[in-house]
Amino acid sequence: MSTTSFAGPIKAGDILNTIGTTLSDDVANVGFATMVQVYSLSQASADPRWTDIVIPANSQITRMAFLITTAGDTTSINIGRYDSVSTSYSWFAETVVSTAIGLKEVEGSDVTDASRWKDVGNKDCQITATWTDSGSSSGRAMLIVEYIQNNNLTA
Amino acid sequence: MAANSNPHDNTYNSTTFSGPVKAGSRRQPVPTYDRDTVPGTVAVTALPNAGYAICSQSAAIEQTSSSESVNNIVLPSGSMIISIQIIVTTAFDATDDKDLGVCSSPEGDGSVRFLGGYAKLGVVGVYDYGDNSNWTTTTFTDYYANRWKDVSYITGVVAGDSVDIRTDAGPGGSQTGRAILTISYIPGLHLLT
Repeated sequence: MSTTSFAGPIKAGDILNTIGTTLSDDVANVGFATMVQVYSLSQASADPRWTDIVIPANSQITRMAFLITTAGDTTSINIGRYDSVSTSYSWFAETVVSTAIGLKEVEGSDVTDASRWKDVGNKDCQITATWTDSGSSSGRAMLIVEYIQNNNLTA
Repeated sequence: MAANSNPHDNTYNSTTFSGPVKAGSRRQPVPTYDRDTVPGTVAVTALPNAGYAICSQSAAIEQTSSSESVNNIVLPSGSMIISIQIIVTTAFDATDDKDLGVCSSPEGDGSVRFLGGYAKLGVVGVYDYGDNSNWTTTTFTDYYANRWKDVSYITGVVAGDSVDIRTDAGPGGSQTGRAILTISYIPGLHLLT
């Protein structure tokens, strides 16, 4: 199975520019393909752990979730960012419950700062994670991050 | 213009690739680096930032008396399922709320392998099948999770074979339930196989 790669965002739609006010005729209808990166997390690894997930600058995060295949022995995972210039962490989400197998969506009170989801910033963003190990180191999960590449939102 | 015709019929083209589609300005992997050192030993500006375009397939589902209804959803070998959505347009009413299970039945295996429990779809709406709190049996087992992680992990799937997705409506009720099943996935990751 071969892979096809592009440098920039992938978009689709047959009206590229808005030049009028008539829908289906001259109002742009182009949308972005949603992108995804995944990484296998282990509770046994030292914190903070780097993931292989690097989000292109100015992207919009649309979803974070964990596919937990082995439940952890503590209650929380934090998902952070690294801005490549400091050791500080600005969390996308904190204390996500990880003690049950299944698909755990990051939502509501898990989200630390919605503005970081709106735009990851003007540098590429390497995702970090912390998963506190209280002894058994048993937890295993796939971190799923979905995003719109270089959406560059301002609001 | 006929009813329900698409105004873009003459301009829509479909672009098809045999494998995954990726996008990002850097795509080449960096040799193993130390993930435990802060800040990182490799600048983020040198790391690959390409992600996968999410693929989705949808099919119309009916609540029928026969189990394992065949759909038109077939996933490439080694795909990772990242979400399953059910849009219920007509409520289901199977006995004991066992309205719809999502499963596969690998060729030559003869057994039904579920991706989760039976979802309760008794009200029109949009459902996340991954939300096991809406199952009749709420336990999300490790074998469900590993089948999402890599569909080729499903027992009976031959290495390299595509995986057909089926649904199983529980017995009973008026069998009038109707829905659209959508599976989103990353093709060909092969995380477990």
